[in-house]
Amino acid sequence: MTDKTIDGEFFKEPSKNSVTRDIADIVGWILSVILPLSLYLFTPPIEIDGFGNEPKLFLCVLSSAGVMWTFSLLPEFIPGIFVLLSTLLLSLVDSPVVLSGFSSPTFTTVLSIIAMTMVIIDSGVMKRFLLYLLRHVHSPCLAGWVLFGFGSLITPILPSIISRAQLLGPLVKDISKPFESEKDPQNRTFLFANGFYGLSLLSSSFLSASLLNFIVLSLLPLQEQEQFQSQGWFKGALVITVVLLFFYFLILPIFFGTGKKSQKTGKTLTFSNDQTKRIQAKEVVSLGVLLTFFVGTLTSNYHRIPSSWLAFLAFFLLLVFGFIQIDDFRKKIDWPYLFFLSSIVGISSTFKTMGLDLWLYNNFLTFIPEILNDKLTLFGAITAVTLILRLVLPVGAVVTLLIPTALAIATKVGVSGWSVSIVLLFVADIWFFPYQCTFYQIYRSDFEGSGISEKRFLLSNAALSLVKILALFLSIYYWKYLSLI
Amino acid sequence: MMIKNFFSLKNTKKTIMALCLCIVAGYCFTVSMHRKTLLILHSYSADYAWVRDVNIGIKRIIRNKSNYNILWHYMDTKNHPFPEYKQRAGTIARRVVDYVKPDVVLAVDDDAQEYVMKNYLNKDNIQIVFAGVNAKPEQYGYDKGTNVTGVLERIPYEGVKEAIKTQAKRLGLKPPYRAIHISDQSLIVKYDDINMHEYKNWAPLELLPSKLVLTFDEWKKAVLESKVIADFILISNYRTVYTDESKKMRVPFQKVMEWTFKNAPIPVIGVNGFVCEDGAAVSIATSPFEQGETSAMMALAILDGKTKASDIPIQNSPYPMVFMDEGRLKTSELNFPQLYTAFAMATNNYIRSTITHWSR
Repeated sequence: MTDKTIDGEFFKEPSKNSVTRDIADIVGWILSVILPLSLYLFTPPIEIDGFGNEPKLFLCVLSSAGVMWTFSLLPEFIPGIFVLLSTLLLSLVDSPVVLSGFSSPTFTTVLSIIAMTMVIIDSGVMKRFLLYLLRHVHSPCLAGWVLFGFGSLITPILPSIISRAQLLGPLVKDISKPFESEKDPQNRTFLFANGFYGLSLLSSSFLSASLLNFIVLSLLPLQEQEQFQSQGWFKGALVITVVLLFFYFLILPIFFGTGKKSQKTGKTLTFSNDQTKRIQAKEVVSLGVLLTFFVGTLTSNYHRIPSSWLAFLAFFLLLVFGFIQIDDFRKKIDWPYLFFLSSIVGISSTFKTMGLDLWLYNNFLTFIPEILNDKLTLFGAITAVTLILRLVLPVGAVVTLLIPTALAIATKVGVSGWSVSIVLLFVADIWFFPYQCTFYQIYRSDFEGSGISEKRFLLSNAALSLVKILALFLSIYYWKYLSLI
Repeated sequence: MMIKNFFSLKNTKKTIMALCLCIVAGYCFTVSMHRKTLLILHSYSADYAWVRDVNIGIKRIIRNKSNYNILWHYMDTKNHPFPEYKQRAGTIARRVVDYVKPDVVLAVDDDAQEYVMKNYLNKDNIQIVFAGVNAKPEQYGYDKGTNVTGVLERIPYEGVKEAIKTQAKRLGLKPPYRAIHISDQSLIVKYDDINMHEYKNWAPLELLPSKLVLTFDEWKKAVLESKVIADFILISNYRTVYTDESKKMRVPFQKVMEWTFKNAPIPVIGVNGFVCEDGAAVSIATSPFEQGETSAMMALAILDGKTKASDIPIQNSPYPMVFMDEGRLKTSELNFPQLYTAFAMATNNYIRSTITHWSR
């Protein structure tokens, strides 16, 4: 399997050498034609006031894209473009509706944050900061906790988990080098685990901790989008965060001890001379712009400028002062992700404009009112369905396919769309087998042959996955307290 | 040397650029900080026909008012008419008000007043403009409020009376023409019902005791039995008609009106615009557009600093709107003078039949 996507949080390009993969591809392509045709020819018409055949045609197009996503026939953003294009060519709705994703504030926010991330990583300021912290660290135990702390610190700053994995992976590998000669892999695995959990554990705690969070935010009703900007999101995910951190510090020592004592302390952890380089203007400016953006976001209630426009302003400043080169703008901005985001928002707007969300609820979901009325059962059902789908589908596909239904249920049941979405996002992030998690594979790829105990790590991950479900369960009571459900 | 470097052409260019940007950014921040905020708080959801039309009215007035920060919040209590949900929606809405700190809140319909705005009464930092309120202002203490004004929503009694008189004469009925109000048991309907029965000038109509029902079976019974006691049925709302007394599931509102139109033994007249949209042949109703427009004008006058809420008297909405459905009118006993049809057409409230005379 090779990673095709830039973000990598969604889909994987199939390996062309695998016969099974080829067969799956062929089946997938045939299905992507047969399924919409069958739906069109053999299902009853969809009757929605103000529309003729359009809703049915749209669902047929969507089913075809769904097959493409499910079978990973193409990189994830291409089926999205296919839906937009088909909707436009068939004139199913007005073009501003289907293209609304490109004009949404989320588009400019994500574009700007990706650009800021790019400048920060390129500037080397993060690496310098980590090395500075590690300069005073003389034990693998402390180095592990520093790695976790650093990973958690950059989590809300760098929204792409893949970028964080790419930044932290080589650094952790470097730090682990002195312990490679040790027979017992405990220290290496401890550092490996701390690095990984640092970059991934809190990815649902902050809005800006994952690009998927932005997709979900943009699909929420407008008033919830305002309510769950940075502080609102963090406040809603507070119990999840606290429970995760508590159990993390409890569970990790059980699996790895607290880092075995090693002869290789002190000087051996000082492994690079990067920190001795003079501080570059780019580092200062990128950090300054980032801090200004965060301060601006935290004080937005005072100056009343939405955080989307503040991010756009930061992006503009970086462009004006030449910290983003035109070539980088062309090549390093995650355009496929931005297209994916825009297509999902456009699909969702089209769905709502056609009244398909109400139709879906009135025709299918009203038959299970008992499940919907009990919040625990509702969230339990979402958890179960997501976990099962995650065994065969990547994160992005699961979230994309389930979120419209989940939001329709939320509206009808009278719970906050955000609470349903965060459950979906959080559970979709749970994984037990390496094939389920792309950024784990990327992170691990730096450690080939470095002798970490993957089995022990996977066991710790399974334990933390159970903790995640517990955190959700406890959050339900917290959300009731917040009047979200 | 350092000074020379500092004044190099490149640095001078960057300094001037930074200064220019600082001026522009500073201006934007200042403008933004002083921009006043209007929060439009709806009791119901955006897809409810009444809310949609109130919003059309509001937007007609606030169009091109980019110098104000305008935010919308929907409590969605029509879809979830349970006290527990309303309390929750109210808590969230109050949190929004506290966070946004709007200069003016335009609160539409009664739940927004009951669960949110009455908590801000007499607080001078927030001015309240209400619309679509069916209860009496005293219900929320608005009659004595120093920071509140708005538009009451009242059924246009005179308009309804005139429409019924026209039909009664055409049908050869003799006065008093008996009308019965059949609706659900929602709080708003109860307020409407009290106001309707307090109106003294119904003659030559006789407004009979209302039948406000809980279940669809009760609804059917009330409609079918109406022929014995009344000449006309008045319908205001039916969105909280349940399948049974457990109140777990509501009957889809279109289904209620569809059944009513097909089975009503006497003519049905809606007293809300959406009744016609949902399945009746005609409605004589308060104009949601007028509610939206008038309240938005009040809100803007306050935001512009021209006046305070306490200086604007609470208003009523006396003028009726006529809503008609061409197809259903043809199959009903109702037949209105041309003027009604022309008015409905002119105000864009005339639902044309899908089969037109040239496409038959």
